[in-house]
This record gives sequence, structure tokens and C-alpha cells, in this order.
Amino acid sequence: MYLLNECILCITTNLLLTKALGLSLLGKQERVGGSRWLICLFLTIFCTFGASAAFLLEPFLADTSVYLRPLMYILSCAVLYAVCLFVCGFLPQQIRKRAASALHQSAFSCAVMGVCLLTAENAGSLTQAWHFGLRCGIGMLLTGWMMDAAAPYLNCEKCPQAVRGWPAMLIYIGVLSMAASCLIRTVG
Amino acid sequence: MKIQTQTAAEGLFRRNIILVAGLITAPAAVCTDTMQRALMLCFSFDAITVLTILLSGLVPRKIPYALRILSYSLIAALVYIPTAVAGEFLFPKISLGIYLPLLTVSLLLTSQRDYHFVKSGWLRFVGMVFADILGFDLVILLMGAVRELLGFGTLMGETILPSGGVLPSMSGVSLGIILLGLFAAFAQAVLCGQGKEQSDSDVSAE
Repeated sequence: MYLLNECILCITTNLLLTKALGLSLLGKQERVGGSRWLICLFLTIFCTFGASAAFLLEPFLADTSVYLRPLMYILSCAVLYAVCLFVCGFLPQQIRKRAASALHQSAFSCAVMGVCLLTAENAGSLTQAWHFGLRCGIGMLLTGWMMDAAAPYLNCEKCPQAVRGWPAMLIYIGVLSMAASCLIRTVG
Repeated sequence: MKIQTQTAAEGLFRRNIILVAGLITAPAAVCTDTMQRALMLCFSFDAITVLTILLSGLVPRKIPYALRILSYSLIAALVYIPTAVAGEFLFPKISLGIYLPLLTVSLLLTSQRDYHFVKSGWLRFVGMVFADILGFDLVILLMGAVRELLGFGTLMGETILPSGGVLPSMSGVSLGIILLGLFAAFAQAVLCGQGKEQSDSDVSAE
């Protein structure tokens, strides 16, 4: 029952379906090619860490100007970025370049920044913040999987040329978003 | 194989950063429910992009790619501060929520900036940036007009449809994404038609 609740939460609080965050990144990957799973993995790591860092920084940022938030969040993600780059150096040659490319794209993305900005209103403790970030990351993984499943059909010859590819993917994500919002209303 | 050179003017339509390149889709889908929010988004995006790209010219190209990406994001975060203040002054009753700070981490300012600069050279790159910005503004304003008209029956707050909005959920995220998809389909249809005419004229010339 707990797992089912968490699955429903991953869909209803999905950043891409409810707030369109990460759409550019996953859409670009779908068009250009490359490893979407690596990107989603790095997004999950950065969302989890970013949410925790945002929660820890909140007491300092609450008293200072709100305009400093993007700068502080980027600096905190930069620390993890450096660590991940260092770890990528130890990976096998075949995967190192792909991992580095996925890391460059996902480290400073809208999804990560969005999680950092939303943590303040979604988490009352460090555990809740970590949980929120992890759930957002897993939600991105789920959405990446749904996009991966639909991509062959949306790019096939039977699809009209005008909507083939990216336009069809946008409409597909929009319909999924509509379904997720109906699920929120049903569950709520 | 004929290699088509992309001119700066193609940023307006053929290489439109929202409809064709698929960048900055989140603010485009969410913050264009009214024309006033669309105007604020245009102002904020233009200011952050122009200032960040101009200032990022100071970043030496010899430093590693990872450091360059980080530098561009930090410059954008610093440029965000005066832009947000100016936005609050110019549009006092409008708020973009979390989507204003998200403009600091758009793909256009990080990986895409380096890619186009390397391919094009400085002067051409500046032209491409301004064309990209103009293309972005056109799409955002058009989306804002359509969504406000259909969603609320108004335009810039002035009542146009006396009966109100015909599609109230047009202000939601899902229909924003679907509308963006329809605009992208229209752009792709026009581009496909142009490509077909070009290939037909090439064949008839042979």
C-alpha cells in the first residue's frame, strides 16, 4: 500500500507533468539521442541533493534577499557537480563520455533548480526534503520511461509529417499532464 | 549534398528556440496564460539572456568545458538580481513565481551558447542571439494572446468576448503544453512545405 501511495505521489507531484519542468531537457534528448537513463539518473541525484541543500540553506536565505536564491542553489549544485565529474573520471572509457555529457546537461537544469525552489514549501524537515527530492527525481525517471515508450510511435511514418517527432511529443506530454491533474483531483 | 548555411535571421522561424529547438518550454507553457505575464516573461528573458551572453564573453575559452558551464550559470544568477528588481518595478502586479529564476538555467545559456559560438564566430553569434530572442518573444506573445482570449475572453485585461472565456482550462499547464505542441506542428508543417518546394525546384533545375 505504501508503494502504491508513493507511485501515485510520483505521478501527481511529477515536476514535468504538473509544472513542465525538465521538458526541454528530456525533449532534447529524445530528438538528439543519447542516454536518457543516464540523464534521469543524474537528475535524480541532483534533485535529491538539491532539495536537501535548499532545506539546509533556508535559515540563512530566509533573512537575506530572495534574489540570492538562484545563486546559492547553483553554488550548492556546483559542489555535487564537481564530485560527480571526479567520479566520472574513474568510469570505463565506453561510458565515461556519455556520463559526462549527461552530467553537463542535468546538473544545472530547470528540474533541479525547480526542486530547490519548491523545497521550502514542501518540506518541514531534512528527511522530508530528501524524500521530496528523491520523489521528484523518480518522477522524472518515470516520465522519461513514458516518453521512451511513446517515441517510436510518435516518430513513425504513420504519424503526419507536420506533427511527427517533437510536436507530437509535446501533445502527448500535455495529455499525460491532463491525466495527472485529473488524478490529483480524484485522489484529493 | 547541399549544405544550408543558417543565417541569423533564421532564428526567427526556421531555428526558433521554442518551436523548433524545444528550449525554454516550461516558462512558455506555464507563464503565458495572460498577455501581461507573457510581456513580463519576454522582458525578463531578454534582459537575462542578453546580459548573460554579453558578460559570458569575458569567460576565457581555454578553461575546461565544465567550468565554462558553471561560469555561465553563475553569471546568469548574478544578472537575475537586477532583472528581477526591474521586473517588479515595471510589472508590479504580475508574478512569474519560480519560473523567473528558472530562466537562469536554461539550456540556451549553458550548452547551446557554447555550441553556437564555436560554430559561428562572435559577430554572427550576436546576430543569432538577437534573432533567437525575437523569435522567442513572438511565440510567447502569440501564446499569451491566444490563451488569454480563449481562457478569459480578455486581452491585456480588456474584455473582448462578452461571454467570457470559451475554454477556461486554457490557463492550465496541460493545455499550455498542448498549445505549444500545436504551434510547433504548424511551424514544422511550414518548414516541411518549404523543404519540399526547395527540393522540387532543385529537381526541376537539374
